[in-house]
Amino acid sequence: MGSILCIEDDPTMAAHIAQGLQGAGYHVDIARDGQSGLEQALAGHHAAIILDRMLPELDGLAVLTQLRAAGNNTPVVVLSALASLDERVRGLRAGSDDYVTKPFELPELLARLEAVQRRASGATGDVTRLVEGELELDLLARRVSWAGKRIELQPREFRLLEYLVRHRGQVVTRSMLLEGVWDYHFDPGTNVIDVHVSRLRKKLDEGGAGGIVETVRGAGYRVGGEPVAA
Amino acid sequence: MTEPGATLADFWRDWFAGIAPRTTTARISLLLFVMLVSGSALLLILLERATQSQLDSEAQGRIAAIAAAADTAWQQGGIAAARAILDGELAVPGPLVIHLAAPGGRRVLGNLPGWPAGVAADGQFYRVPAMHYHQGVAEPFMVVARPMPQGHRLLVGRSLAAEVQLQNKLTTTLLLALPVAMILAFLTSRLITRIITDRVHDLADVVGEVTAGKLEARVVLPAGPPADAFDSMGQAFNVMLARVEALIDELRAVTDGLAHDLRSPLTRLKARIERLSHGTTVDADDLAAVSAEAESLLAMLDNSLEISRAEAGIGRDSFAEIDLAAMITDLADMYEPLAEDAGVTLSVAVTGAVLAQAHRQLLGRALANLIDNALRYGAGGARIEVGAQATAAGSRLWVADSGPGIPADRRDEALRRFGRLDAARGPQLGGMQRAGLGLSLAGAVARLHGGTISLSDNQPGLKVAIDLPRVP
Repeated sequence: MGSILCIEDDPTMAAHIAQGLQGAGYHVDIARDGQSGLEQALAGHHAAIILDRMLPELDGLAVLTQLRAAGNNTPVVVLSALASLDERVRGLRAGSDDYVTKPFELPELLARLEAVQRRASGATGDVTRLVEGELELDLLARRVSWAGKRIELQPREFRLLEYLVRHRGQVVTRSMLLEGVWDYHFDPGTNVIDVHVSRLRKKLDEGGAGGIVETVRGAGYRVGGEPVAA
Repeated sequence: MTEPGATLADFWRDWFAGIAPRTTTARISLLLFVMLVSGSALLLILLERATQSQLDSEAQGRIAAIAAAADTAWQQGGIAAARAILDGELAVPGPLVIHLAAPGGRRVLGNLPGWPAGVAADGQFYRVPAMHYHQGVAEPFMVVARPMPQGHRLLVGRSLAAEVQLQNKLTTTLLLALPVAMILAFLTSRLITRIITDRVHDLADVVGEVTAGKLEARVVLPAGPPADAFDSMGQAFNVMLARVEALIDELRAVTDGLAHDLRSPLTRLKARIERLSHGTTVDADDLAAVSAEAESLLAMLDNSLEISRAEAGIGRDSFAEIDLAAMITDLADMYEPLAEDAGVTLSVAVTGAVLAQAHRQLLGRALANLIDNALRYGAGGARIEVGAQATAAGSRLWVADSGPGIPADRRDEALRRFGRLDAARGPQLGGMQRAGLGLSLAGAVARLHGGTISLSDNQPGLKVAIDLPRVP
């Protein structure tokens, strides 16, 4: 796995993130302030950057802006206690690839870190059909089939499945689904997403595609791929 | 190298800066004073000029008429006729001089000792500064001379003594009036600066009071629309102060409410952790309970933060045109499986697109909160309706349940942040607090959009409606 640059001034938090990422197989560099973080980001070849916002010397968004202005497109996940919807919008507008609010759960951070790296490396392009084993999604006709047999899904269920299959092999968290499928960034509070997924599973089960949507305990869901460390 | 002009300009600027008063009021005073004094001086000078030119033209008209009459008489009746007219004029006592000179320069008739120097017989008017006539007193004269038949020349003039006297009188008056004008100007400028200073001091006093902690202090204003800029400024001050006071009250309510409401879940959390630390094994259920407790605390903080930000008007720059009908349909779709599992019918009442300028994320969150509330507390009636429609004033969004509802006299309380209706709705305290926050978040988001929130009886149940204006 690649190396991750973590720009975070709180030593406890930095150690916690580093431990979690090392556990997942990443090499981690840590910068304690904005200025040195920016220098390391510009010098090194990191696979992704985890960026705190309230930093000494140079604040996180300034680091991000300068990094992007220098033509560096390393995927950046902002990790901040500035949790309001508006601050998130500001972070994304400044050029970050994702925004995770503190307090966060490690699996969530890992899942999003993986997603931004995937997005950066491989262009998804205009795919018209997604295939995962026997499962086939026709994105134009919005049809799903398992081993050639049609499975009837509601439009919302189709989009849910599409999102999971597009991120095959990755852990997809509940909040990622909420953002990816509904484009809302808040926590709906109840198990809204779980209920949708269990409905989708039931229909897939009936169509013979049981077990294709896997539950990753404490993190979210996954379709296909090898088991991950998280 | 410096240009001489620039140097001079610099010099004058420096000079002016040296003598210019430092305070605004003193500057206004000085300006007023200079304006008033120069205004009155200008007026007097103009009056003098006007008088002089009037007198001059009178004198000119008179002497030209005499000269012309003599000329005409000569043409018709010879020199005798002209002499008769001129003698007649000389016989009238008055400030008139006449001199008829023969070709050799000899005086034919008249009351002047000789032809005055510098006057040509060309029909032009001349002002002779000092001239003696038969009484022997030197006076200024206005004269005209013209050639007459047979080489004669005629000069007619009129004394300007009266004019000079009038001019002197006017100058004296002017000199006497200037000090009076100066005093008046001084008093006026003082009075005006006093008025301005007083008005400004009124404002400054109010600001001082507010700074000292008396937040309810306001600028005293006359009733009705603002009469002048000071009233407008006072009004703007009052609006600002009211807003500041409301925000501080709000902040106080939030901190009090948070301190109060966070205390009990935090206490529970602490108790659980302590119990866990005493035990020998850690039960997964215990950990899940601790995690859930922390989760609900975070949700409460998040909502509270969004409310404060919305109340402070933060987020207006994220407004975009969205279709409220599509939005509410989307949200209903999001909650539909959950509702079905709970045995609740969630229906959507929309007819067509309802466009509005809105903050999609915040409005979505507020509506999701309302639907969540309805599912938690209004599910007793097994029916929830959400909807969006265009209204005369803009648009309306609503979430209506058929649960126990909220009695009319407690609806205001329910809208307040941390407002709790323990007895009326919800079995558990934790859930109730969320309900309170959900409603007040919806209220804050409605106000951010320039709209209102209202609770009404759904017969049975509770109907929460958000009315948004066409332009936020």
